[in-house]
Order: sequence, then structure tokens, then C-alpha cells
Amino acid sequence: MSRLPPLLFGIFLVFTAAWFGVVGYSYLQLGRMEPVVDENTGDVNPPPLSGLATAGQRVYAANGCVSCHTQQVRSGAFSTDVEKKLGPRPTVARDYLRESPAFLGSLRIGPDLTNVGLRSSEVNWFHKHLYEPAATTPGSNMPSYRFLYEYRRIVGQPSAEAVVGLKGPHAPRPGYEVVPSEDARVLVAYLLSLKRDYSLPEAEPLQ
Amino acid sequence: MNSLDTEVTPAMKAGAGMRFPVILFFSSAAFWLVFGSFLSCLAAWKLVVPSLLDGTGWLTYGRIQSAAENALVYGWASQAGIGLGLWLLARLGRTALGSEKLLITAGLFWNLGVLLGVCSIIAGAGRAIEGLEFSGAAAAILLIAYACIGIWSLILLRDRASDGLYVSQWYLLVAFLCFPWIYATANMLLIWRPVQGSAQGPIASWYSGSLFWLWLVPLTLAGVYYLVPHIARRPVRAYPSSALAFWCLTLLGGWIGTRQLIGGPVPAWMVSASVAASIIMLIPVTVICINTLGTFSGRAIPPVPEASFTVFALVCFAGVALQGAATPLLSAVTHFSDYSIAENVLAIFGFISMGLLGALHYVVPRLTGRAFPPRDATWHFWLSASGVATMFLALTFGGVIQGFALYDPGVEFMSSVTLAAPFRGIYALGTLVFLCSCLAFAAAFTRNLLGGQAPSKTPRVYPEPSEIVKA
Repeated sequence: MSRLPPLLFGIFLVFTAAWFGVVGYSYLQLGRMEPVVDENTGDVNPPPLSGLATAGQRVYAANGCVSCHTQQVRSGAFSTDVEKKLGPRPTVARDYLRESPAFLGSLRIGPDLTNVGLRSSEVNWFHKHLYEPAATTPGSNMPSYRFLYEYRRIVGQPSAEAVVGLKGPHAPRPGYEVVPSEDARVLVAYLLSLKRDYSLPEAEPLQ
Repeated sequence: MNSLDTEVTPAMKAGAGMRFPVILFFSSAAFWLVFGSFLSCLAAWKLVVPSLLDGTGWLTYGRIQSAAENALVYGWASQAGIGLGLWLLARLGRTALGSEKLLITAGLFWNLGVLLGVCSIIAGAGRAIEGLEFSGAAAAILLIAYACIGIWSLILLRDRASDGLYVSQWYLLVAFLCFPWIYATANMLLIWRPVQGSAQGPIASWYSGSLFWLWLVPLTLAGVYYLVPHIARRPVRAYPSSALAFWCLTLLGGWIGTRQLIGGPVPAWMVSASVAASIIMLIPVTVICINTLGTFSGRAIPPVPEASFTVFALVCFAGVALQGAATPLLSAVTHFSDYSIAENVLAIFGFISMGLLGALHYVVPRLTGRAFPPRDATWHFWLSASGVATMFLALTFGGVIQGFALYDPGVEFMSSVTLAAPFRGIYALGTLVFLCSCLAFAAAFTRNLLGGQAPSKTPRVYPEPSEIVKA
């Protein structure tokens, strides 16, 4: 190996193998998956995201939620994800069709969020949790996302959107209220949309 | 002293011509090392005390953590590796470097890209893909800056005055060829024109695996293979086998990444291939350790800082390979737990950073003609080694315990948080120790650049490893 051209050629060959194998396959096969229509209900699965949820994805990305939360229910003999009730079935590639980016995550510093929309549908709970996590989940080490909320004096009627039942050091004083910003509202809409309970031909929910 | 040490070879002149670009890359790398370690220390403490500096968007944990990782990879490790690579190419090829201005401009642009990228993450414009959080514009600037560096490195290799190619040059060739390919592919398919979400997971994991094994690892190994024969003053042990290790590592490097999606939404063969690659990777890593650590066998390791750093880094390298090969045994418990962060600590801090710091301890005095005071260097080594060891051990133990809690269907999620908490506290202390070591290094490095240290007693001219191999 004392000459440049054979070395260059060898590196090129060896590198291309993995490049085609992983990237090429993903791009050509996984990248061209299509949604499926459920014959019984006529639903399109995975369901399209609402405009609010799509905007919420961007807030989720911007604040690095993926650093601590996975969004995958693993399959396989060694995984207990389904037993732990993270979801009715393992997630498959087609589930992420409409995600961009796909927030698979690699750490569970916080709980998995694949099906967080199935666990609670109460908008106010999500706002309370994001505003002061330790107040809704004692012992939580999630940071507060107060910066997504407006702390303001009540002028006239209290806002219909104001977060109710806040506790903890940052709860509003009398005469004040905490109102979700646009970012907080779309983020909660996105979290509520996270439900992987539909069937796909390759992944039926376990009964 | 060996007669080769005092003989003036043309290589010395080549090194002198490389001074300014290399110093630029090294000093900006040192800056990003301090910056990245500071942010990673802050993030670690925020995990322990969630109310620390909370309530501000740009200081929120998710952004600080991503900014820290990216600053360390692109600001510190990549730039230290590029500087080292250029220096080695000039030294080993006995080429005088022309066009300094081009490289200096490229270096400034690269730093602009990193700065813009880090700002984009902190401002909330990050892309939430591991290792690719920089905004699309920042990534484009990095690639443009890289084009000049990469092309120049190939010109340096082609125009070399020496015969043959030494193992360091092979590894540099892999790094300099693969980086633009990997980085452009990943940005094209994930950031600039994202492919459908179903394909993003495997591509992103391919990227993070390839970035490590085909960019950071070869850069660091190029330095290690250069330093070892110089430190040990004997040829690399079992030198012919280094070619086997080289080809094995290059072949497997691109396949390693997808193992982080074990059990995940990807075809099963991708994970199997990656686990198989991780196990076979033990072969090249063993050979590399025999080549390098084996060279020291039978005699005391010389008491120079670059020796301590290099040996520490190589032990971590062996650890990285062992952890990778153990994936199928441990993943049920360790996947998604803090143990995965420990794996990253061992790889990025233990091997890459310690290996590159060793190279900097060797190269900088030869660029400036001034030695680091031995006491500073010793402090720097022990602080960084104990920082890395603390971070790694705390997360490994904590991660396994947390992993059992995550695995057991009878245990609530919150128990995993409570169980991991004390270990995360120890980890946070480790990041603080590592930050101190980076500050100590940056201070010594600055004083060295500004001329505040004693002239180096060792001659600035050394035989090249190829000569030692023949000797």
C-alpha cells in the first residue's frame, strides 16, 4: 500500500458498500412507503397530521425534546415495551411516514411519548405539566417550559385559555393568569396527536 | 540520544510552513473544547437540578445538550483532527505547504459554520437529528470550508516528496475522503431535502456511526500511529498487520451505526448486519492495540504527557470496541439508559478527545518551539483522565440500574428517574472535573502561543515513523 491510486480505489469500493447497503436501501425502500387504507373503516393509516400538530413538531424539535424522550415501541424477544404498556403494538417504519424529522430518540431520561396522546386527552394537564413539571409529576427532572407561556395580569374577564389549577413556586398570584403562547398550544396539539393504535398490515395492535 | 533525533531532515522545513494554518485549527479547537465542555457541564447539572437557569428558551436542557455535543464534534474534535491531519501530511510527505491563505480562510469559514450552527441550536432553529442539529445554512458553510481543506489534503498527499505511504497517511486519506461524502449525504437526505420519515431513522444512525468510525476515529488513529513510534523510539510492532486492521475498519465503519435502532422501526437485517459488524470490529481494534500498545511492551512508557494521553486513549478505544461487541448481550437492559451516554463518553471523550489532546501535546511545542511546563501537562492529564473515568463509571453503573428499572414491567417509570439520580450527580461532578482540565489546557496553550513558556529543550527535528520502521 505505497501507491495512492489503488488505495483511493479500495477506499471508494469499501465505503460505497455500506453507503448503498444502508442509505441506498433506506432511500429506495423505506423512503417510498405509502399510507394504507383500512378496508373496514376507510381510514387512512397513519392518519394525516393536523396543521397545528405539524407546527407542534417544530416546537418539539426546537427545544430538543428528543434528547430525553424516545418515540418508538420496540419489538423483539428482549423488549418489554409492549408489556410496559408503552403502546398496543410495536412501531414500524410506516408509522413515521408523516414525521419530519422522525423523533426516534436514543435515551429514556423521560418516558416514551409514542402514545402519549392515548394516555391523556386533557389539554390543561399537558399545559400544567409543561409549565411546572414537578407539580404534576413529583420527582420529575424535566425542566420547566415556562418560556412558552405568558404570565400576565388579568384585565377584565380571565382568558378562556388560561391554564387552571397551577401549583408550585411559579403559580400565578391572585389577579394574574398564565396563558399558553402559540408555541405551547401547537406543541400540546402535537403531543395529543401521538397515537399509534391503528392497524397496519405489518403491525396489528395486540389485544 | 539516538543519532536520528539530531539529524536535520527536510521534513522539518515542511512543518514550519504549516505553522499558521495548523495553529489556527488547534487554537480554535481548544476554544470549542472549553465551550463544549462548559455547555455539557451545564447540561449535566441541569439534569440534576432541573430548576437551574430554567425558564429561558435558549438555556433549556434540550438545546444546551445538543449545542454541547455539536460544538465538541465539529468545533473541537474535527478541527483538532484537521489541524493534526494537515501537519502529519506535510511532515510525512515532506511537502512544503503552499497556499497558507487558502487554508486560513477555510479555517475561518469552518469556525463561522460552527458558530452559526451552535447559535441556531440555542436560538431554537436546531434540527433534532443526533449529530446533525446545525441549521441547513451552517452545514452548507461547513461543507464549503471543508472542500478547500479536503482538496488541499489530497494535493499534499499527491505531491509528497517521500516514497511510499505510512499507515497514518492511509487513515488520513479515509477521513478526508469519507467526511464530505457522509456529511453531504446526511444533510441532503435529512436536512436540505428530507426524505420521508420512515427512512430517516436508519439514515441518521448510519450517519452517527460513520461520522465516528470513518471521520473521528481515522483522524485520531493517524495521530496515534505517528506518535507511538516516536514516543517508544522503536518501530510499530507487527507493522504489516496494520494493513489488515485498516481495511477491516474501513469496511465495517459504515455498518456500525444502525445498531442503535435495535428493536426499532427498521428492517431486522439492518440491525443484524450492524451487530455483526460490531463484533467483527474486535479484530481490527485488537490488531491496532497490538500495533500501538504492543510497541511499548517490555519497557517503561516514557514520562511524557503525549504518552499518557495516547495510552489512555487506546485503552478507551479497546473499551469502545468491547462495548459495541457486547451490544446483543446487554441491549435488553442498557438500550435507552444512561449506559448509552457512557458509551458516548468513552468514545468521544475517552478515545477521540484524549487521543487528540495527546497529539496536541506533541505537536504544539514543535510548532511554537516552546515546551509545555511538565507540571501543567501532568495536571492536565490527571484532571482529564479522572474526569473521563468519573463520567464513564457513574453513567455505566447508574445506567445498568436505571436499565433494569426501564426493563422490568412491574416498575413504574419514575423509579428509573429516582434510581439514576445519584449517579447523574456523580456524572455532573465528572463533567466539572473535565471542564477544569480543559481550562487548564487552554491556559497552558495560550501561554505557549504568546511566548510565556520556556523554549523547548528537545530538538524540533525528528525522524519520521517510516524511517523508524526501516531502522
